[in-house]
Amino acid sequence: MKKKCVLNNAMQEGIFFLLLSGWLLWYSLDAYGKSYIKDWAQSPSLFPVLVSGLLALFGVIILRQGLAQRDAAAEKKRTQPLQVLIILGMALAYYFALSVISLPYMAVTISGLTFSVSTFEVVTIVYLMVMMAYLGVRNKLAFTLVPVCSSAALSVIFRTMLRVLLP
Amino acid sequence: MAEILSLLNLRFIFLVFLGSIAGLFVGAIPGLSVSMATALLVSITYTWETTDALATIMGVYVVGVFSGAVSAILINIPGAPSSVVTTLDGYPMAKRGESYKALYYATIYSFIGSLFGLVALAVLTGPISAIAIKFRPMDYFLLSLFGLATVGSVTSKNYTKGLVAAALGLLISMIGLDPLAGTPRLVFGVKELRAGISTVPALVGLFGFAEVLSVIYNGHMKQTVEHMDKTRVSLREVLRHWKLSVYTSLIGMLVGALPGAGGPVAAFISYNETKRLVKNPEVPFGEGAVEGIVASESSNNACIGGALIPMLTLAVPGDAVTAIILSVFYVHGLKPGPMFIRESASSFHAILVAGFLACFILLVLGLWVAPKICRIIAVPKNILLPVVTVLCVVGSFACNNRLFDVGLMFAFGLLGFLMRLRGYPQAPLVLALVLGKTMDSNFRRAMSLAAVAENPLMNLFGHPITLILLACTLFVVLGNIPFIKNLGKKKAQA
Repeated sequence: MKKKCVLNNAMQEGIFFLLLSGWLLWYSLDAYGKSYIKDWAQSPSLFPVLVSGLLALFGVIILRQGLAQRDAAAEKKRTQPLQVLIILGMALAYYFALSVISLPYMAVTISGLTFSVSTFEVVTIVYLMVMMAYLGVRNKLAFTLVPVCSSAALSVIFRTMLRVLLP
Repeated sequence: MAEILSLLNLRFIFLVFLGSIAGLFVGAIPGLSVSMATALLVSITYTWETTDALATIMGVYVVGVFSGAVSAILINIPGAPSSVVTTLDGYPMAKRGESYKALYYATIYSFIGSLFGLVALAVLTGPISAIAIKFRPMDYFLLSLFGLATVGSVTSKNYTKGLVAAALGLLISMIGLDPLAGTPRLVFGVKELRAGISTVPALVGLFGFAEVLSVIYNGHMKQTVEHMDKTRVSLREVLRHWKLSVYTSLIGMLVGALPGAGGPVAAFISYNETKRLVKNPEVPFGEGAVEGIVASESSNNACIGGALIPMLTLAVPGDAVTAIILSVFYVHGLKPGPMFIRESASSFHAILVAGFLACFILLVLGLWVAPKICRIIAVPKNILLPVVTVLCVVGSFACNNRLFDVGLMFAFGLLGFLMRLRGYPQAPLVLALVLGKTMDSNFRRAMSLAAVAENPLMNLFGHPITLILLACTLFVVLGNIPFIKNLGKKKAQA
């Protein structure tokens, strides 16, 4: 399917980078005004001003490229934007679950190897199961074993062997 | 010589081997990095003997840098920034069912590159440091700028988009306390941002979580199991590119010796050089050219030896890992500097011997163990992607033990996904993120020095190294302007 664009991707991006460079310039000049360092050569605002200038230049070039391609038809590919939003939502839920839920720490030592169960292990198992179910894993063995084994493996490798804290 | 031989005891060899095994898995597992593993080792090896600590760390460093290529080839997620270039040709080869061949090339040329770098470390420490010590702030700035200009040209069809990505990386690198005055910049009152953006969560998000989102967006869930060839590649055929390997190893070693510019810059410069030298590869660059893997792996592994040169002689680390190794030195009471080789000869020898041992272990692990990890790509993506997401969470958290970094990783994942969607390469952003603070501080140092000089312009650019770097940067930038590019093509046709 072909679709003609009024404001194509390149034009949108060019405008975005121009706005971003404008904001960065404003922020840098504002910070320079408030700073006690008035020598530009030593000012923390010097480099941001330089970068904002570069961004403005590239923004103009991209905008010009967009204007040159304005009449070109855009190819539309079959994509899954809704799925991406759902996966992002799941990731955020996982993140908040790790931050908010606080389960008691339980540890079992077998032959010197400590297996621990706490927030990370439980939340990860649930997250993996939900995500795998959403992505269409129907094999019951994989659906059960992968979440449990990968959480246990990560827990043993990081917490027990490397002594690294887990979320 | 007797001192070197005395190091070759079973304990020393075992520790190098242990470090190498750890390096292989740390590099191959997405979300874990050599710098993270080395940082962890600082606390673990705190009470060890200095030679034992150095043996383990060199094993992790040498094999870890190589094994970044394993995940780069197999799942298109580089284990380290220096393996970004390997994904350009390694992953297309894996998709064609040539993952074994790609790994074979990566192993052999990582071995050659590492060996080259370490030989250079042993032989050229004096002369290289003599050049590096002459570098002035403007030279460091221009070198980084040259790296960014080169990266932009090799990773995107649209050069401006490559440069935009680099500019965005510089913008992000400015977040946190300013490196010279300590003034907070772009932190918006968020106290976690005052320490700046941590490279590990950013890298994990840009390459790990962004890949998850991209695969889901494109709906490529069903074409999951890639075909893997069982055919062996002859060593003779692989070694055909030895001259290219030596040349790119030399680039890698030299770039590695320059503080701040590590594996990623070396790999990109070498890749660009290879594209220029090899006019007609059997497979086009970016679609699975073995020459791309040769260039990337030889140079980024040669950087190991190169990066250790300024660290040992000037106490200036060449890259993130050598910065961490420097802290190991301080923990063990060693003083790197011009007198280091004389005063701490045993430690210098331990580094060299452990490095060479790790090279041979790399060869064995790369040819024998790494192909077994190939099975990871045979796992269906609807199982692999959730696990990769969890690894990304663990990897980004383990760096600073902060949940904030996990959120940062997700944010960078989204940014990386949007960049891929619009055709912006991520590699220039990563490089700019790593080099941003160095560029900022050196640029301001150069400007401050020029401001008090009699002739500011001469102070800034009147230095042979500065002029060479400026000419190289201008050459790359101007050579990528369409008008000049077309002019060159017309001349060639005429």
